[in-house]
Amino acid sequence: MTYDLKDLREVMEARSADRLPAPDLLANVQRRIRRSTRLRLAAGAVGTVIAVGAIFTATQLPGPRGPEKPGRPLQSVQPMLGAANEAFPKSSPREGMRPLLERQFSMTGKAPVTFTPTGPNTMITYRCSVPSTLYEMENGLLLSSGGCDENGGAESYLPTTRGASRTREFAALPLERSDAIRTVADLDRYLAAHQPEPRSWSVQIYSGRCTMTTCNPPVHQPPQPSVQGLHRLVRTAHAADGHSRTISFTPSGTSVRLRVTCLDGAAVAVVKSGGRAKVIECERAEFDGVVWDQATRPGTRSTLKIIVLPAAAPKVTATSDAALAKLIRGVAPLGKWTLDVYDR
Amino acid sequence: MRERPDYTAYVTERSPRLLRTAYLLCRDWGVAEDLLQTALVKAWRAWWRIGDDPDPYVYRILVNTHASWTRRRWRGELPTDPPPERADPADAMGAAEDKAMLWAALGRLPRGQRAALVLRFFEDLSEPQVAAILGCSVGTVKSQTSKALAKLRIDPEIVTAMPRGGTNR
Repeated sequence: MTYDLKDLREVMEARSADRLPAPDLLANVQRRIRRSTRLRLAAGAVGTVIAVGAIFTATQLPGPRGPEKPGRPLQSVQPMLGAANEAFPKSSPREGMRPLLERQFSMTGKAPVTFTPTGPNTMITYRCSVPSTLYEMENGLLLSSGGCDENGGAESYLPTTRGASRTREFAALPLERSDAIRTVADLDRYLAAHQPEPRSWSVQIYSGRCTMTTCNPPVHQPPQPSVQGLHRLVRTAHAADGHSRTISFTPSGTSVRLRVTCLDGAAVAVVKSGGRAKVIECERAEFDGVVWDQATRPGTRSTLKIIVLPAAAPKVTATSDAALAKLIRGVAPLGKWTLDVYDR
Repeated sequence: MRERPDYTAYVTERSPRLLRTAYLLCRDWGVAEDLLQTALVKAWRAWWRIGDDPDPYVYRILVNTHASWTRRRWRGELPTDPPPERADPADAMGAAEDKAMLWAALGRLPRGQRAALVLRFFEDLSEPQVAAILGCSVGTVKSQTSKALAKLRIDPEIVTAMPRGGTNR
């Protein structure tokens, strides 16, 4: 039997020709994009970034223990030590932080991990052989819980002091058993009442100076002006397609209050009025929208133009019609936006 | 200058081929579909800076993501069954078995060497293009490709199946 490159090509062509992408591939990809965008934005608000697939539940302080279920005697929860992955510190840095340690576990359960940060930021990531829920705790508080699977899961970022060691506890549980766990007490109770199950999971810790803005606590944003009780003059809603749309209204006062809301991939709005352009990063405000006031002449018909770009469009560097038209070239419309104009 | 393709159109048009490439890298249809989805999500995040031709960028994501996954976990690849009895080369069934042996041998190659072969001989990319995707020098691509082909020639199952006095080309 002899082989040549023609055989090699043929075998690769033949073996890979068995299957076509699932019909819902694009829909699934778009769903993952939207979900990751939503989670990243939501996580940014609390200083935590959640990656694709992660579902975080609200953090709660430990509550009073409820009545124990009769029957099975409770066992004390034995923390697991896990095995260190010696090769991990030689792996690639992430977000500017160097790999510090990886601890691997083979059973469900709770594991304390002590690490000494090497910089002002530390990132913790997880990986699980099968879909699981990962819990992260420190000082008796359940900080977060999130989904974890073979592609990874939650990524949490925390400010740290170089050289000051920290201990965080992690626990992995089967995905379907995690609904009732809201506190460390719930978790301990669950672990005491259930035998550990074989399950591979690992925790990776990176430390250093993070190059990503979401690593750091968010800058405090002043509260936005409220639109409650205001009379809405006009509402316009469209897809984020980069088309310019003109909105007209007649205000009764010396200013109007505007709110632009971008969802599902609509990302940047450019609002032009009176020869001025305002670039609004509306995606991160999600359902709340971005609210601002604009001066007007009472009783005079006013117009403004709005162009909304999807997240896939390049960064807005110029606001002329031609420049914006160039940005949307080759980019599919995605998401939707709404502009409300309120009388004041 | 080429226009940057529309993301949706790109996914629709290129995903059949990209799925095949992903499968050749990981050799598991379930993982390949997941790998492709992950690569497309990552590509979307950088779509505005990818430029005119997204293919090299997406190939790179596929290769790197697959490498990252295999580094982190055992992929559950199992040795193939013992090699079948050698068949008459003129026999169509025998030819199919030969291809099966070549396919199995391809699966035994190290991940990087397999990626080089897939990009060079399935995607028909040039050595500089493969080097750019794998993030290595052209010389490394040449040596990886050459080593991979040499390993296929001396693969134990293939050698066992060769007729006495037979040689590999």
